Amino acid sequence: MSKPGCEEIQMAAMAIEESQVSEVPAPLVQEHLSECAACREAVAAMSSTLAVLVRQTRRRHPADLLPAIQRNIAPRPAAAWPYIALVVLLVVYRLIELVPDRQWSMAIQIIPLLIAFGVFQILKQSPFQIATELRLEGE
Amino acid sequence: MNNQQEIQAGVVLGQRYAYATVCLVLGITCYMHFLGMEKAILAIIFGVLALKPNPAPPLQDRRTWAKAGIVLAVIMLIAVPTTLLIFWERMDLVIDAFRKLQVGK
Repeated sequence: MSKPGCEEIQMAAMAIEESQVSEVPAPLVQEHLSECAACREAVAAMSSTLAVLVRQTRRRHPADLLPAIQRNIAPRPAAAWPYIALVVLLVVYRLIELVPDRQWSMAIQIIPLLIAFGVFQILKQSPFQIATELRLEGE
Repeated sequence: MNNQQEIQAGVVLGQRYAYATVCLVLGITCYMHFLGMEKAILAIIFGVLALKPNPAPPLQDRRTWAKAGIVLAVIMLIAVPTTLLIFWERMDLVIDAFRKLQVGK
């Protein structure tokens, strides 16, 4: 067997440190390291890096991720604020319309239509469209 | 849930969705006054939606309901403007009476 080079010795030294099978016998590695300062430094650097990596712990996830996934993908209830705004705006409109001694033109009648149109625009829905993707309850 | 129950549930829920839609639309319509024509327009829209063949399946029962509703609404849409035109001179009195009725005087 020919004499191993520095690279082979360094790899063998790391293998020995990690308790793995080394192609170069351990006494030969020790002998080389005692003579070669460059290899000693390289092995020391790799050992310190290995020590840092060994100290790291992998974040453990709970084994059963399904409940969390289901919770996150579950459809959220529709926001209520557009409907509340619709009610408030229509009531305010009605109160303004009822103010006595004010001669509103017929054009004011278009306001509730505009309010409703605006709310349906916010909701991105149309009451005059047949929705085929509505869900059955409990689905 | 077997297939028959699923179909029945779909039918019932479809009607409930329709009720919810009509409830909201009529609620909004309560705040509009276009001489009763707003209700006629809605009746025509809903009637056409009920009779439309797409998306499938087309309506089998109660097609007559939708047709009758559309006819009544069309009559209203014709009658109101016609009445307005015929009695145009007296419209001031009618509008005034409506206003008084609206503010409770």
